[in-house]
Amino acid sequence: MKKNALRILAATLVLVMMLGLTVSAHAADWDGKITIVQSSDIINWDPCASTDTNTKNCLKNIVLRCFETDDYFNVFPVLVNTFEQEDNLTWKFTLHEGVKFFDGTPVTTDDVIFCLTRAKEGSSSGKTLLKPVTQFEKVDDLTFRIHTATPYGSMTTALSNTTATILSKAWVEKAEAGECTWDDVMRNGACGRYILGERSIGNSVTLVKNPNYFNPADAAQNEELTFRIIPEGTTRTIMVQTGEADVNVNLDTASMQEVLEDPNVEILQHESSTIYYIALNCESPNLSNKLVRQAIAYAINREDCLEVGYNGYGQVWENVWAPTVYGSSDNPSGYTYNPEKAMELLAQAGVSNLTLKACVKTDAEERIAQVVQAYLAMVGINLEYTRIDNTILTEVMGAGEYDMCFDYTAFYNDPELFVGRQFQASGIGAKNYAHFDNEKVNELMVKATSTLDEAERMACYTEINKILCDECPWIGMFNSNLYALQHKGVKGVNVNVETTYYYHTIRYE
Amino acid sequence: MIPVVIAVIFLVYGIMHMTPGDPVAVMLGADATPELIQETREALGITDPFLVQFANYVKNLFTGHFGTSWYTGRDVSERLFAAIPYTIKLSLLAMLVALVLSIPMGVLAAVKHNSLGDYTISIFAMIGVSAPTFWVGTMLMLLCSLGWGILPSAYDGTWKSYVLPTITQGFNMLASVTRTQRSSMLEVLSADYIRTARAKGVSNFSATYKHALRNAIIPSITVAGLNFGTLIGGAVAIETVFAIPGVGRLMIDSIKLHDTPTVIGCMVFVSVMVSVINLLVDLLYALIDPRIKAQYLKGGKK
Repeated sequence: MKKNALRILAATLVLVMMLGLTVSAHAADWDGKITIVQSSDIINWDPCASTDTNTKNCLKNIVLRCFETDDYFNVFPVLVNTFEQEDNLTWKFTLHEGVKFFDGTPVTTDDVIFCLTRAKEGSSSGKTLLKPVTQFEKVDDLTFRIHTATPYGSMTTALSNTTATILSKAWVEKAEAGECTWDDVMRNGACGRYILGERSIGNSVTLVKNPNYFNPADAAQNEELTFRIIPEGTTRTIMVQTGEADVNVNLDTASMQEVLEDPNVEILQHESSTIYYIALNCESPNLSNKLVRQAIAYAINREDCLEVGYNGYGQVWENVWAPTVYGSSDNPSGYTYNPEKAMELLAQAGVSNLTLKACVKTDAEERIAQVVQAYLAMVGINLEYTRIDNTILTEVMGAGEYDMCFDYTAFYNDPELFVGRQFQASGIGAKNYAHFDNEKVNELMVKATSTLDEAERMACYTEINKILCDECPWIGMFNSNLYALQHKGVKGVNVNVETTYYYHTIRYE
Repeated sequence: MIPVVIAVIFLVYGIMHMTPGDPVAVMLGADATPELIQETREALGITDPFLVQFANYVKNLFTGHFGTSWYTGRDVSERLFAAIPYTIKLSLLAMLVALVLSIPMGVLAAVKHNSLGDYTISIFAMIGVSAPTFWVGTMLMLLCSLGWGILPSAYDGTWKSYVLPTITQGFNMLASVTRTQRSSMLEVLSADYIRTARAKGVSNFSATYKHALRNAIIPSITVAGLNFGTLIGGAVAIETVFAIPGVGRLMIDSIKLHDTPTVIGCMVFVSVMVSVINLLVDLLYALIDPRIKAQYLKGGKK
């Protein structure tokens, strides 16, 4: 009997030794390969059809745009060498010489104009961002002009959007005609820092360094990037802890406590451009009075919302726009928790026994709604909330089924790119969940978009932000932080205000 | 089998149709204009009445087309056929491990009735039946990957990465078949014909393993066959936790995206698999029990 037990023990030990340790010491014997774990697979390589963050982040490493944005959304030229505003309605751009697609053909203005036209006509983002554009004009193989109907100060930001990605016209036309796949386009018709390598659907995507990248000083610092698709947050975290992966770009805040004490990993943090907010339907009879909306803003303790809703990983933010947006940081809204003031405003508005209907979509929003419900009850407002699916938010808010909705959103730096959709009549039925329409805001937006004078535009945006803070169509709650997790020794991971997407600098030293 | 599959499709199609949510809103993102949303809905054919959509889908299915994913714009079969081998491999491995271990454990518990071994196996089986699959998976991962570092935590294409998912997926089946085998064996061991066999001088080993086990194994096969459907269903959790790109994960991803054609493609696969396994279980009865084989043959002659 004892002999049998010993045999089993020995067999187990041999098996364990055969399996071997999966943890690898990367820094010492790094082979130039980096593994990144993300929560979802690539949905569609077509930049005009890509809407999810993980697809766009992966795509940005294979393709180039005329402009890109840094960690704070500041725009800088990439494919474009020089650019100038010839007059208020004309922009002139010159491309870098010698840029080639992976198949060896040069990048020309034909490709650029084809892709920008395609974005303007065939992509929902492109239709919005390139709306003022009236014509793309070819000057020569490296020079082109963009004509606009009105002065458009956000042109370079618009050209930095994923939808404005530059691909080979020939390869895109082939893909559209069904003569090749989009994987083929990513292997031949792009010009970024990496070329698409092997792809196992639902499992992994491998990118290989582009040896002919046009700007060697900015080329990839690793030889191969592998994106592993790991839907479960705990698994992603464990993979970085064990060394199976180098970076987790979708770190759940729920996993933070588990990794804080682990010496094998490091957490990277960045303030984001994302705001958790409550949109108040200004057309609802319950909330049409500005005083009631302001009372709600005063009645909520945002610190508790941040703690309960997002485990405290962020900063309380009372403004409507994110701190990164032009014109928002100079405008403290002043809606600090003050239940007495809230009750005073409700009395002034002549409102009592108010019952409001709200909708939430995520666990975090539901937790925030519970806190808000408790605080509103203290000032005599009864809040009833319903959990709905994310995909019907636009529909139900457009139809005015709820008085308010809990939501979160990331902001562009430039208000020109979102005010129309979120705070003007044209966005009602779409992203303007507050059904907000204000004459003064409309006037200021016309003024801001009709000038290229930065100071004048800033003054308009600051004024618009003041009006929004006063009118209170949205109640800003907190500004969440963004996190990534990296294995010890990894260098060059940059978390920016939106997400993490420049992977070419990741390396071991 | 075909009516069963059509009924399943009808049910799933109906449920997906009634579920609140707009796939077009997911596809086009926050920047979509109401006009573009409407255009896309029309292009996908989801503005048609439910029965028209259903009839079109079934018609296409009979010509071998699972439809086009509303989200990726690619043929559903492309992703589905890529996912099927992972799920089949995982489920068969789990079933194999569960059966190889559960039958001897059930027999041992019955033969050593009321002993320490019986209690240990019974407690183990009770835990196996009660513990949620995703919890077992996470615990194994924490222990074997993070704690001991001997196995990968997620699928990486190697045989090692199948060890934890197989154990996790087979755990529940192992427990339920062990329990069934134990109680069935106990019942058979106390039957008159076993006592008679022993009285006639048949050895204890022969009475137990040659006479009793053959009869006692039939309920276990039934349970294992029925559990295979659960195994495939359980793949949703296992494949998500261990990042295996199988049908279960494809299904859950597609449900989140309201990608009805892909969800139905997955359901067709699951229902066909369950039907085939049920058929195999019926055939296995005949192989093991000559009385059932005789009944089949008699029924066939009629």
